Amino acid sequence: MRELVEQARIGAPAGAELAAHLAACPNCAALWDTERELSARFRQIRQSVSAGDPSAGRKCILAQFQSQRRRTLWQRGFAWTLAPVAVLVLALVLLAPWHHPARRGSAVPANDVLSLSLPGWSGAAEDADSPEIGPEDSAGFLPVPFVPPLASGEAVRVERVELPQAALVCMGFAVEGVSQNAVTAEVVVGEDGLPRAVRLPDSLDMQDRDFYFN
Amino acid sequence: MTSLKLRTDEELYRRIRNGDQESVAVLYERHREPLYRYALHMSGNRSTAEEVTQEVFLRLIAPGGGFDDQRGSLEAYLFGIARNLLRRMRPAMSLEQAPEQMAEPDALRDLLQDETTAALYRAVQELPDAYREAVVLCDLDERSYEEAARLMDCPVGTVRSRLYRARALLGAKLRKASGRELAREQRDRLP
Ligand SMILES: [Zn+2]
Repeated sequence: MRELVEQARIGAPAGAELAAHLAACPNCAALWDTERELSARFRQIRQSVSAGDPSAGRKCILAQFQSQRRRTLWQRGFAWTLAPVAVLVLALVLLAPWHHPARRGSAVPANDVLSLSLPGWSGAAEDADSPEIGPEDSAGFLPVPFVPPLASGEAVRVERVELPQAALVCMGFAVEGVSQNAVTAEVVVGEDGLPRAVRLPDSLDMQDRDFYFN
Repeated sequence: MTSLKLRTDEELYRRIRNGDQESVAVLYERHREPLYRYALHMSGNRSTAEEVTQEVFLRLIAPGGGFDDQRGSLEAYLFGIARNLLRRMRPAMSLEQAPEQMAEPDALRDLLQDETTAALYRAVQELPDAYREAVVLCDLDERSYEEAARLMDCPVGTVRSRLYRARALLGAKLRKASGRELAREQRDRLP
């Protein structure tokens, strides 16, 4: 049966065995005719379709892309202007007396946390010519600008801190409806105590994040 | 542009994320027609097809776009967006629904002069989504079962059985429509 439908569907002639069966079996012969007619009519439908002129649609998509691109570049510039403020906030939070030591993770090699090799790690976001190394390649961590790079093999700690949403926006995270509320973030801290990277924990939807630095 | 045309969808997508406008144009050229045909046959409506096709690309280029190449091909992702948009635009339909409850599909109105073929096309529109999708991809867009399975995100066997089931339903309607046409011809021949 399947062979019959398949042969009829692709418009192939019936083989000797099938032809003999069709000659002897009116049910299968009727099915064969119907299937072949279906395929012939589908061909007719296919030939009736024209997708029209793409130029207007393409123009609209490209214009939209350009305007988004301009907006993103502007936001990136804005973020970089505010980035030193964010670093300061991070450093203050990490040094604050209420920052509970129990939240501190133990020291691990940087490569275990940031699943990428580290050349230019702290500057990766600035390197527009290296699209392959995006923030998403580094376990969701976004590099903190204006801090010295980690030394090769340097151990880091991951700490959970409460950060003002505005600071996260400055770091390049898109936070819906920025408010005064604090957000829990994970910060990679080098041996020197300086923050190197930040990410929002997994409880926040990764899909909804937008990295202005990519 | 020529060298971009040789790049894979996924490479072009990465370039788009880095602001490359030419890659947008290349992906648009590559996928616009298949997406349009899919949306056209799924909806039976030309303006819906145009709207959906455009919206798919707008979502593709939107900041933070949700495509993840670990989870499938870019093409499957684009068809997935189109499928979701179409579902939202079209009220749920079942075979139980009377054909007259549905809007007349305008897609090929001017082009399908043949009454039986037009009736068949209407019957395609009345199929449940999953069956219609199998017919649209395999029969109206001539995709292989493997390609259709990738785009439908289901096993090849499922595509095949949905297609056979759909063709059986359409075959029954076709016989009915042909029968009606035959009867009309005979009536017209009567003095
Ligand atoms: Zn038989």
